[in-house]
Amino acid sequence: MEVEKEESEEIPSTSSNPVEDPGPSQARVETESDDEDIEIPSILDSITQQQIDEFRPFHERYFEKKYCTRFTTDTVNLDTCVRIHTNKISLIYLSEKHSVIQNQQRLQSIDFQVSKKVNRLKNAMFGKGKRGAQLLQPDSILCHLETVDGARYPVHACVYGKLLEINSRVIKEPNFLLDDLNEGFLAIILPDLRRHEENVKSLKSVEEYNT
Amino acid sequence: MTETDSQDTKGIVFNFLIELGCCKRCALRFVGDSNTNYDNPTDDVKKLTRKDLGQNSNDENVFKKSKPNPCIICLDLLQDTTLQTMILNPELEKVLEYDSDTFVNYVSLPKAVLIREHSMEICVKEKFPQFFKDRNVIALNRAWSLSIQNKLAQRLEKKYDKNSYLQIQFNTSYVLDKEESLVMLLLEDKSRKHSIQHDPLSCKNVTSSLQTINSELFKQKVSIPPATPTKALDVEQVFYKHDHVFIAGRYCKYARNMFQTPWSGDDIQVEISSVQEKIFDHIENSFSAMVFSSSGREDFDVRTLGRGRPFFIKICDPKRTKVSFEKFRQIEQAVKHTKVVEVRDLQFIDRRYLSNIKEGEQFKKKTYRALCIVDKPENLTAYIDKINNISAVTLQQKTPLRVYHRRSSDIRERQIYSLKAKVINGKKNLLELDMITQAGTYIKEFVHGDLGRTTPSLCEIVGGYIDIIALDVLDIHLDFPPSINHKVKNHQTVNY
Repeated sequence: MEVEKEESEEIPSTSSNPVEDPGPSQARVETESDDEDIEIPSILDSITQQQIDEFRPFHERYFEKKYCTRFTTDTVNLDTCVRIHTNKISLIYLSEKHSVIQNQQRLQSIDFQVSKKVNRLKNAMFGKGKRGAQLLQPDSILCHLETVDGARYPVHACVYGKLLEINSRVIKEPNFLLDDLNEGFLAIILPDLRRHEENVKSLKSVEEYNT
Repeated sequence: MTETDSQDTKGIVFNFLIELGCCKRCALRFVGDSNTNYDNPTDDVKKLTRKDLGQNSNDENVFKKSKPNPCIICLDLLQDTTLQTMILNPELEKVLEYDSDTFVNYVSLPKAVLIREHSMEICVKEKFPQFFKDRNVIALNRAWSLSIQNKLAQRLEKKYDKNSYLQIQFNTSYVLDKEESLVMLLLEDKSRKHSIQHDPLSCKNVTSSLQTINSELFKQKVSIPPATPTKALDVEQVFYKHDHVFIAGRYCKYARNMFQTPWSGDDIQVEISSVQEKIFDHIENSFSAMVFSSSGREDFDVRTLGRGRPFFIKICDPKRTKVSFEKFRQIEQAVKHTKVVEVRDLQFIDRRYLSNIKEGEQFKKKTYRALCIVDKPENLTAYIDKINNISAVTLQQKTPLRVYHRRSSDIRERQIYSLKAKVINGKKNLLELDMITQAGTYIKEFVHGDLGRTTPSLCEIVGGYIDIIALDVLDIHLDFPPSINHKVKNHQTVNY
């Protein structure tokens, strides 16, 4: 049972089965006031084999994978992969079909100075509402990838929202963006909730992308 | 001064006040002693009028003076008729619904009354300086309380106790209050002007002004003795409430699909109940507002085991405050029947102990057990060894992605005090991990790394893939509330 909620801590990834009767305790825990030995029910018995078998890694568990193809032209593939968390936060990755990956190019650096005034690394924000964060539109440029052999690829935001973070591991090592397509996200974006539906509609699902 | 002398003077002062236009109780306030019966002052009055009036020593004379104008000080607050009106207020019926054995009563006074009292004090101190040299005048609200207490106690079937949590507030008004108290604005001490904010004519400000005001200045603007009033004060609404009471306890949560408090926000109807609701269902006082508070909370899909998590419930204006030791144990049993929530150590708790639960959040420790999955069974033992070789870890945790939509961007440093991993019989790719961590540590993120945003993560420590399937809270290291020993009955922290 998937429960859609804004305040989601975590979505149980499988059907939720409340514990019927706690099974035989596996261990007793040293508690500070040990006047009575309190039984601790087994953790293994609290989940089903199905839940174990169907368990997916973190980057799949809470995220819906989508693709943005609108900036790709006949000459260059700029597809990005957008993973949307259940709380709607979106992570931007390069798609596996992106030119730089298809051409097996390596990155020399990433340029985050996208205009005279805007540097994506200088994104200061304040509070829960992330006031002051850089505002993004789908065609906003997050950065330019600069390859060893002199090519320059822009990466677009793909969604309406606020920029929260650039992946520090990618800042440190740009090629992480190409080498790990699960952990190597480029940016975290807090979507504009008023336009979230619009955002999602503009993206392709995995099936659509691969047919 | 002999006793008869002082009795004479008392009589003189008493009659002076009556002649001026005071009611009998106000006059008694100025001359009475600790034995004065304000509830029924007939005898006290008789004693004081006998000597002075000689042959005309009967109540008739006394009462003749107190008509037709209202008392020049209390505007008839202390008259039998007013007190009767207050006692007969039908609202007081509802106070019987409270199971409290005691009550305390208060009255609000019009500012004009305070000014009149001050004026009369100046008057009598000038006229009878010897008599009032070391004498305290009984305050109006005290005299009122003494006058009405016994009758109230009868009506409410409760006892008066100045420390009672059940408070009954009587209110009064006076049509000429504004006019008569405007004079206070003229008398404002210039140095005090700054300290009087907002409403200089509030009761509080008038009272404090009167305490320091220069008598000469006062006499210039206010008539000494107070002018004869044409209207009496009016009795307004009565308000009553019982102070908040607090019930503390610890709860365990056995379900992996339950919120701690009811879901709010979206329009979606949520059928899943919450820990809070399961507990509230079994506490009487369901008509009073109840507020649930706890020492942190666990995720929707995380169980709380062991002693459980400390919590307290604030019950606002409770009608039921008598809950016995056995009744608390019954409530615990009833909650246990739900199978998904359990509570222990239920007890009343005084509000001064509540800061325990929220204070020092950052320094508390918690014990967790995680069920973890690894990529390849052949790595299992190696991973377990690596984990067990570590004594402690300091984490840098960026705001986890799963809460990033509602939390500010931050890096939190957190401690893991101990880690212990072991195999699970019959499971080749699972391990059980026990940890003691600092409060506020995001455990799930520590295990899988949150895409590199928590470091070091368990994945980094074992040098491979490890993720968390299930999490249990085993202990919250906080000795609050005091644990209940079931063998010792009548163990009560507080008796309301």
